[in-house]
Amino acid sequence: MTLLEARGLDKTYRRSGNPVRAIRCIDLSVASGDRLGIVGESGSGKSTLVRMLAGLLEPSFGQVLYRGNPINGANREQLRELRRGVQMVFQDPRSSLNPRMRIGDIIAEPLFSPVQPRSIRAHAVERVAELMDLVELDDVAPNVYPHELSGGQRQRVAIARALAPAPEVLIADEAVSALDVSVRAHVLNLITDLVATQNLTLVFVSHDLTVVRHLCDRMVVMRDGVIVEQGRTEAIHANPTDDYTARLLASVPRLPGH
Amino acid sequence: MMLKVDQLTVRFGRRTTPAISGIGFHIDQGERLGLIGESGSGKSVTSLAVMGLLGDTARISGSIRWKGEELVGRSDAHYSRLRGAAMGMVFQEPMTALDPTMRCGRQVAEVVRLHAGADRGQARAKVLEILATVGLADPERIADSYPDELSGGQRQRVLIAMAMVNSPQLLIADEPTTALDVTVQAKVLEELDRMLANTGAGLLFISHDLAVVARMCERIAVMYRGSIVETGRLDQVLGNPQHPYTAGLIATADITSAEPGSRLPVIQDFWRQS
Amino acid sequence: MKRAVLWAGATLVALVVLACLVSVAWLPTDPNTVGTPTLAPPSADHPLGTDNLGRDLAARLLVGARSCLLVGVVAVSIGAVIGVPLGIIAGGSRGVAATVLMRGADIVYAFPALLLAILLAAARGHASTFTAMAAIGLSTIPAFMRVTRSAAVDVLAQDYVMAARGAGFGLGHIALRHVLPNVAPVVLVQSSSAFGVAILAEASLSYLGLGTPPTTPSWGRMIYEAQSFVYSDIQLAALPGICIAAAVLGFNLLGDGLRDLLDPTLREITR
Repeated sequence: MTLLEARGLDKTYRRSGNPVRAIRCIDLSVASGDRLGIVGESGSGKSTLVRMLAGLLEPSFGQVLYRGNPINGANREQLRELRRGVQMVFQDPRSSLNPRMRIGDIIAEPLFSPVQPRSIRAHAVERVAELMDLVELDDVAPNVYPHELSGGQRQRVAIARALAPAPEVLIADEAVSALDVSVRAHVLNLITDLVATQNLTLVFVSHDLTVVRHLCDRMVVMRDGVIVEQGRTEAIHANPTDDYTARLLASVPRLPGH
Repeated sequence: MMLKVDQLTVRFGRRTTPAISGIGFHIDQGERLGLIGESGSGKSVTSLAVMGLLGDTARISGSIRWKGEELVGRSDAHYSRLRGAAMGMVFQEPMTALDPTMRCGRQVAEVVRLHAGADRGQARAKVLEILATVGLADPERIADSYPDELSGGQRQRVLIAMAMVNSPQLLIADEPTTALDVTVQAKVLEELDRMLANTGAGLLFISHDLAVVARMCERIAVMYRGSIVETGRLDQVLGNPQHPYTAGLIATADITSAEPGSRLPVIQDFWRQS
Repeated sequence: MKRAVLWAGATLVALVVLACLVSVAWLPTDPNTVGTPTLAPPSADHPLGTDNLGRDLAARLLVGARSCLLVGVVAVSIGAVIGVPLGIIAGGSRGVAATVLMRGADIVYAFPALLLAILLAAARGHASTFTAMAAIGLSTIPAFMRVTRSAAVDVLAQDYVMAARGAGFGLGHIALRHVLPNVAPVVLVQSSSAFGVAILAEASLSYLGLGTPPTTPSWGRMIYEAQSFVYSDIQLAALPGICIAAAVLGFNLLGDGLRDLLDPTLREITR
């Protein structure tokens, strides 16, 4: 079934007084169990698009539907459902983790949200331990601060927080781009495992086509707020039809002989 | 030997564990060395030590020789004659490395006038020339722009122009393309490549991305926790890594070699094998 | 070097606090007892001599530390308690609301504290320590609003705020849990400099007769009363003047020191 759907989405920002049209009339749908990649470079509008899908940004025109119900003008119960069901992981854990909170509190925070039933608060401590286990942070104490962790560990904290409300859709916005190449493989393996074990629907945003190819079965390529190509990941990777997609693919640095 | 670093150890403040210890490498005229390692491995400390930019809290021992002349322990005044003239440096973050209150052209011109002593007109001509050389299409407009009016790629090119304008013999580039988009990164690397080939300058290239280092350098040194664990010609190191960490880096560098959705190799796999 | 500034500031501030504590526990003589000798040099009875009415200078200086600190604490509290929440709200709002808040701050900022003190004194029928504190406190609100707003704007742009919204939290939770702890350092630094400003303002208002009433010794008022004797007995004006300068300098240095200590960009370099 279709979980998230964008219909004629359009977003215009004002930057120093001038209107900038970040997203131009985009239609997109994400079905349960999908692993959708959104590829594009900075300024392509990919972050704006997923923030609108997560209900964190209002579109200028068009609609986002979650489980068939429009998010704009959703009633209280529908909004609760969205906030529980769709969670995001951001690019840079230095910005996505509050430096003055302990990581246990960061992971537990969504459990204390007004959209969650009060009953789960009683089990918050066990739930945090379970989540830290899940993201392979079992050797880290929950009372440390983010700056005491490595970049890879911090991103795991962000993933654990996103999983806390047991969402069905996980939106990852450049979740491995700020990491060292050598740490990236680790986090990608973790995401692959979590998608399988937690039955997650994945929307993965990246500028790196090879990462999207590894994680996603379907992808869209965005440029200047428009989708320029979409289809099965393997097919696009093997034979890009759009010039820009081809250029993106050719630009990914590779080791000689690979 | 243009640059020769020997047994370089740096400690900060009262800490007993050194940030880097016993580092040694050399760069010949026109040679390109890639320094690779993860964040916190001491790559940037090494490059800052070579440039004499570490600050008062650093305690440095060992030797850094520039054309046979020892630099460790020399005054900052002595260093500043080398910086921007014989050695140029490009940093990772193009926004913070440029002064937001000054037009880009003037920032480049200052470097010219500081070392070459050119007058205003000569400096301006040289600035426009170098901006064109780094692949900026409209040098006049770029020179008259403030940093925040430029894109990330344009800013990074201005920084490269600043580093190269006095035709240094060695360029030190610390993650110069990490903050850029892949297509922009590809272009900037290409221009850097061409410029170095034209001027015959040497390169110390620092990155966590093996594929990028491999694109630019003929020799690499692998850093791990403050030490160089392996060094050699690129093809040799890639073909026959001696250290398990290097083998791990090579395996993680290219995810297209793994089947989509399959488990990717990680560095730890290689530690276990050894 | 940065620590030296912090320590110098902390030491000066500690001296003022110490003087205040000592004045509560012990005084050489009563600071308001008029008698002879007048304008006396230092002696065993009067360690710093006496003023034109024969009052003990040392006792008056010690008690003056009290009003100085009292005014500082109350004025800074008024400024912070009103200015910080308004600053956070201004940081989180857009359009008309933000404009109204910040232009309101500009108006209060442009309004002379002196005029405010006169108006308050007129409204209450007489000038008192209370009217001085209220006038000074109200006039420091814009400064608190501005620093809080700019820090709050930075915090609100962070992704952890976005994550909290995505989890379903409202603005109240975000303001208390995320914004307040992260703007606390700049508020602390601002409080410290505002303290210095408040002390100086209180001294000026007392000098003009718009602050602490004659029965309570205050450093500013002591300078006012010493005016006629500056050519013969300079110490009557100089000593309270030095006290004011030391207190103001102390709080400003403490503010600078705290800023350096808490600024993460400066801390990062030693890493």
